[in-house]
Amino acid sequence: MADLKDLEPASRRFLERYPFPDLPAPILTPLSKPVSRCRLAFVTTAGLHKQDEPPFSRFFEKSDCSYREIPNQASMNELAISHTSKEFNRDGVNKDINVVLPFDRAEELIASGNLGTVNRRHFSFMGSLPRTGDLRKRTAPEVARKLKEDQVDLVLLTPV
Amino acid sequence: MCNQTAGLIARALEENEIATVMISLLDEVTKKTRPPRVLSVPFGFGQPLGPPEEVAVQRAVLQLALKLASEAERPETWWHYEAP
Repeated sequence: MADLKDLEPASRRFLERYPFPDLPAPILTPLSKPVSRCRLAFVTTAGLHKQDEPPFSRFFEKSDCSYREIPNQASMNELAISHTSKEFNRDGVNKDINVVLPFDRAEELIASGNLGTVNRRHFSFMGSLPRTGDLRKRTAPEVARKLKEDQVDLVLLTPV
Repeated sequence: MCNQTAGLIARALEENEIATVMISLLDEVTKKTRPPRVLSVPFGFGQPLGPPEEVAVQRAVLQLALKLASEAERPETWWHYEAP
């Protein structure tokens, strides 16, 4: 399990001093059907995007809260990573996209009858956000609306 | 910051009636955002589902996440994946 002390000193100090907001208890939406009939989507913070799309900002201070749509079964040959974190070791996902977006693992579960289906699209944010106002007020709710339109039942979130 | 970002997105999705499970790589940060369902994993940064090409591990993590999705009854339910 990763720990704050595993971070580079500057990153560790940043997080130790960061003013995390005081949040109320979350809502828990129960699943309305068995997982074997659910539509699953993935949302990652790995800064993935199609190669012909604009990258996420390379400036940490910009706190880029935008997102990119990732087609189901996209391969790393079609995608690029733009992420400001020094801790994010990209070797794993570059070698095997399932490390972050488990497309093949999900298909196996569908084939065995343990999962209904996977959505036609998934979403990537870039997770290094010192300011999260735009995420909370605009971009995360936008993605929620898109996934709702797609009739997604369940989302797996994969930070890096 | 990724664990904070993912936690905040999970909350936004749940407020729109979409169930979520968040994988946590850095529990100290994840706890600050109070996501409704969390699967804590022992892998390093960059590998939320486990190491590359470790099919059995990735499958076990995904299956456990889906089980958590259907069995969690209360907000802020945390499970932990333990490597064999």
